[in-house]
Amino acid sequence: MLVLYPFIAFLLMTFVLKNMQLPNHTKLWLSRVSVWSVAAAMAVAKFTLGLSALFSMAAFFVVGIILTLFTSLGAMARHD
Amino acid sequence: MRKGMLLFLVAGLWVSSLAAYGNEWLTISTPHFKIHFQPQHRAWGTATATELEKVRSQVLVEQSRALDVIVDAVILDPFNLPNGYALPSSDSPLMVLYVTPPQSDMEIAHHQSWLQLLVLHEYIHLVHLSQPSRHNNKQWLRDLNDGYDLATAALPRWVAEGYATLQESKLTGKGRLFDNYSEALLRAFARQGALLPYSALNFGDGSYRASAMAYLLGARFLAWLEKRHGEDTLDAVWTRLVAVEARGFESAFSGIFGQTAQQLYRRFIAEFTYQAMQEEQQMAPSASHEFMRFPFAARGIQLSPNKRQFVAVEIDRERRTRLSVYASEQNDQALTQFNQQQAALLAKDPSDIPDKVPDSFLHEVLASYVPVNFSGVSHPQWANEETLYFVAMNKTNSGNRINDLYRWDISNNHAVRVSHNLGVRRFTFINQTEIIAERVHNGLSQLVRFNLETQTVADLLAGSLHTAFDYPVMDGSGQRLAYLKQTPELGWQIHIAPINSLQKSNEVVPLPEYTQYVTAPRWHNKLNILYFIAGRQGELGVYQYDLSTRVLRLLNTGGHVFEEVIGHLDAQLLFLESTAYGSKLSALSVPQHAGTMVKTKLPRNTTKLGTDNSAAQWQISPYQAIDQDWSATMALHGASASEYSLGLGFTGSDVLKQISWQVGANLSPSNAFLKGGYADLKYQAQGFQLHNALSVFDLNLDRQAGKRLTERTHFDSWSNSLELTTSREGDKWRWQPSVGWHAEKQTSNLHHSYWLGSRFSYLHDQQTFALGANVDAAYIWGESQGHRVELGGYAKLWEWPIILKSSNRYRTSAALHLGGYSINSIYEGFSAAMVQGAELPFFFATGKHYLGYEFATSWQLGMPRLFIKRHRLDSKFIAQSWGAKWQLDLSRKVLGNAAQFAPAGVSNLRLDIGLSRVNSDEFEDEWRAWLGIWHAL
Repeated sequence: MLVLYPFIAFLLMTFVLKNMQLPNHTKLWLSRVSVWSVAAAMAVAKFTLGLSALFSMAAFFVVGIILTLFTSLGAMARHD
Repeated sequence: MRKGMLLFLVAGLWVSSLAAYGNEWLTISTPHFKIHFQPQHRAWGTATATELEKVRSQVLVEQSRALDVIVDAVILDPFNLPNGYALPSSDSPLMVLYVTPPQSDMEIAHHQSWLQLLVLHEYIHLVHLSQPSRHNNKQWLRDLNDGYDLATAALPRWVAEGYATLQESKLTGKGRLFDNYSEALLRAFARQGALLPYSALNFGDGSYRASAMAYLLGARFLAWLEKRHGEDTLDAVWTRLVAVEARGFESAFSGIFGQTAQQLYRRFIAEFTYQAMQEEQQMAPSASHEFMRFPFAARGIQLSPNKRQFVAVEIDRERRTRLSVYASEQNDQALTQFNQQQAALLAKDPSDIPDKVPDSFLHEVLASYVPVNFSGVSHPQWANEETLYFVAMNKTNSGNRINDLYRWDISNNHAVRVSHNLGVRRFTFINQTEIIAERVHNGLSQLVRFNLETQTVADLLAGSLHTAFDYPVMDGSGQRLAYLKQTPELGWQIHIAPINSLQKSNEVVPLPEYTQYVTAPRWHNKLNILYFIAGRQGELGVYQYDLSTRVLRLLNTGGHVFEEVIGHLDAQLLFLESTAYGSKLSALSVPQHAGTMVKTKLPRNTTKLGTDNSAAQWQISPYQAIDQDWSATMALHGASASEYSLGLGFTGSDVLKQISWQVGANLSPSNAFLKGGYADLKYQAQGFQLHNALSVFDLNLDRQAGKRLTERTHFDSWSNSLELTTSREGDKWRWQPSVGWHAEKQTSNLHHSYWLGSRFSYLHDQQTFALGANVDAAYIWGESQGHRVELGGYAKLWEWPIILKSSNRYRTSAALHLGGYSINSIYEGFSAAMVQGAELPFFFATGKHYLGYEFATSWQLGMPRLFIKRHRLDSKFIAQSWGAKWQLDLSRKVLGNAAQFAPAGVSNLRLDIGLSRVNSDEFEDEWRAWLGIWHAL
C-alpha cells in the first residue's frame, strides 16, 4: 500500500490541476513537483520494504520518467 | 449451434468483403508528400498533391521554413461536414483533410477554394509545430517516443490555430482574418465588452461562440503583433521555441516582446474595442426590436405555412441539440405570470422595487424532437402544419456518417428516415413530393431534385472541385429558384433561375459595392422581392432586392450580426441574429419601399484560381502498408494485491493502421515476480482484421506483495492466438463475428483450442437519456472447451450514467484462474484461462465456472466510476469489492477520432487505475489500489 497510495495522490493532484484555473507555468511546475514527489515516495517505500538502494534509485528515475511521459500526454493535441 | 455460428460468420465475412470491394486505398507520392485516398476522392487526391507542393514552395519563400520529412495527408469524408486536422509529429507529420466544402454562412466560407484553404491551414500547422528541436538529445528522445514528440510540439490552442489562420489569410488574401462575418461578430462582441480574456482564449469559457475565438481573436492578435512589432519579431518566437535552451511558449514570447502575451493581449483588446466603439458612433440607430431571445444558440428558423408557429434548431451550452416548435404569438401567459410575481413581491414588501419587464418572453413550446445517437439536426423545412422535414446524420456501411432527410410527424412525435446516403444539406420544397437540395457527395457540391416518394435523384447543377452551392429557396409561385453559388473567380453570388431551365438561364443578383459576405436569401411571400444578408467593411446588413425595379435597398445594419432572414410576420420582417449572449430573434418594420438605396455592382472576375497541370505527373499507386512508423513504448503496472512491473517495448504501424505490431517485455525488476514478453501483429484491410498475439510469462506467485495466499507458487506459460474478425454496423448497432485458434503451453502440456465468437453492441442515445447493451459471446472447443458470455447494459437517466456487467465463463475440463491485472504478456482473449481482477492477487482462485457481476456509475461517461463487483467460482463466493476506478482508452480521450491516424506510439494507450475495498472469506477486509499505463494493440 505504501507504494500505491502515492500514485493515487498523484492522480488526484493531476485531476485537480487539470480542472483548476491557474497560470500555465504554475500548473507545469506543480505537475513536475507532484510527479517527482510520487517517484520519490515510491522509491522510499520500496527501500523501506527491503529493496536495495541501487534498485530504489533506479525505480525513482524510471517511475519519474514514465509519469512525466504520462502527464505530458495530456498536452498532445490535434489541430483542427 | 456450432454450425449456426459458423454460418453466421461466413455470411458476415462475405457481406463485408462485398461492402469493402472498391474501397482500396491509393497513394500519390510527390517529392515532399504522400497523399492517401480512396478511389471516389481521386480528383481531390491529385489536386491536393499539386496544391501541397505549391504551398510548400510558397511557405518556404515567405518564411524560409519547410519540413525535411515526408508529410502524410489522408483524404476522408467521415462526417459529411467540412473540417480537417494536423498531428504535428516531428518525424511523421500527418494531416487529415475532410472533403465536404463549407456552406455560405460558415466562418470558413471565405475562400477561393475549400481545398486550397484547408490544405494551407493544415500545412501551416505542421510547418509551424513539427519543427525539430535544435537540442540533439531532446530531438533524439522525440524521435524515440511518439507521445513525447507530440506533447513537445504542442502550443497553446490560440497560438497554433491563430497562427494557421493568420497565414491562411496572408497567403490567400481571404480566410478568417479578412472574413467580413467574423469581423462583424467580433466588433459586436467588443461593443458589449464580451471579448474573451486571455485565460479563456484557448478553449473558451463556455459562452456563446467562445470556442471559435482561438481562431478569430488569435489570428487578429497575432496580426496586431506583427503590425506593431514586425513580422520578424513574431517569427523569432517560433525559432526560440525549438532552441537548445529549453523554453515554453510564454518565455519564448516574453523574451522577445519584452512583455507577456497576456499583457499585450489586454492592450490589443483595448484597441480593438476602442475602434469598435468609435464605429458605433457613426452607426444609424437600429430600427428593430427583440422578438424572442433563445436560451443559448439557435439556427434554422422557419415559419410554418400559416405562420402560427415556427421551428428552431436549438443548441445548449453542453452542445445538446433539439428541434423545437414555438408558437408565433407573444407569450401572454408568461407576461401575466411575470406581473403576478412582481405584484406578489410588492404585496409582501411595498418598499421593494420590482424587476423591469424583459424585452421579450420565451414563446410557448408546442413540440420538440431530440435527435438520436448524436445524429445532429439541421435545416428544418415545413411540409405542412403537422409535418417537418429535417437533415440528420446517419452511419453508412463504411462507418462514415452522411446527411439524410428525415420526416417528423409532430402530432405523434415520430421521425422516420426518408432518404438513404443522399448527402443532403439545405433544401426547398417544389411541391408536396419533390425538393431541390444541395447535395455533397464525395466532396462535390451540386444541386439536385429529389423525389421523396420514389427516392429518385436528378442532377440539376453539377459541381466541381472548386465550386459549391447553398441555400436553394423557391419563390411563392413555385416557378423560380434562388440559390447561392461559390466559384473561385466570384466568390459567393446569389443566382435566380426558372426551375425548369436552371442550366440555361439565370440572373445574378447585384450586390452592394465591396461586398464580401452573402447568405440567407429569402423570398417575399407575395411580392417580387428577395431579401438576403450581405457584409461589407466589417458590418452586416439585411438587403432587399426588388426584381421588378432592379433596386437594391439596405434595410438595417445597426451593428447586428445577422444570421438568417426568417420572413414576414404581421408586417414585420423577422431575422435571427447572434449576440454576445446567444441567438436572438428580432423584428423589423419594413414598408415596401423603405430602406436606403444601395449602389450595386455586378460581379466581375477578379481572381482566378491558377490551373496547374502538374497533377498529370504524379504517380498513383496502391497504398503501401509496409511504410512503417515505429516508436519506443513504456508501461507501468502496479497493484497492492499483487506486485508491480515495468514494461519496455517497441510498436509500429503504417498511417492507416493496416499493419500494426508491438514487441516488448514486462519485468518486476526488484524481485523477479514477473518476467514476460509479447509480440503482437495485426493486419486489417477491407473490413477484415487478423490478429496474432504471442505472449510468454513466468510468475513467481510467492513473491506477490504481502505474500498473498494463492493456490500455486509458480506458474509459467506461453501462448499464441490467431483471430480473424470482421464487422458490420448500422445506425445503432455494431456486430463483430470472429473465429480464432489458441495454443497454450503450461509446464509440459500444449493445449489447442478454437472458438467462434461474436461481439454485438447497441446504443440508443437521446442525449439526456440513453440505453445501450453489448454481448460478447464465444463457444470454445478443443482442450479449453467451454463458453464465454459477457453481458453489458448501459443506461443514462437525466445525464446520469449507470453501467451493469456480468461475466459467465465455463470450461468443461481446463481451469480458469481468477486475479491479477491486465498486461500484454498475459493473454486475455476469448479462450484465455485468466480472469483479470486487479484488486485480487494473480491466481487467487481456480475453478471451472466463473460468474462475475458489476454495477458502476459516474457523473459522466468516460470519467472515473464508482463500482461494486462480485466474483464467484464454481458456485462459491470468492470476493466482493467496491470503490472507484478509471479505465479508458487514453489516446481516444486525448485525441478524439484523430487517434486512428496518430503515430503508432500514441494510438493505443490504455489507463486503468482504481481503489477498492475488498471483502473475502479468505482474508480480512482491506483497501487495495492498482495502476496500469500501457500500450495495447
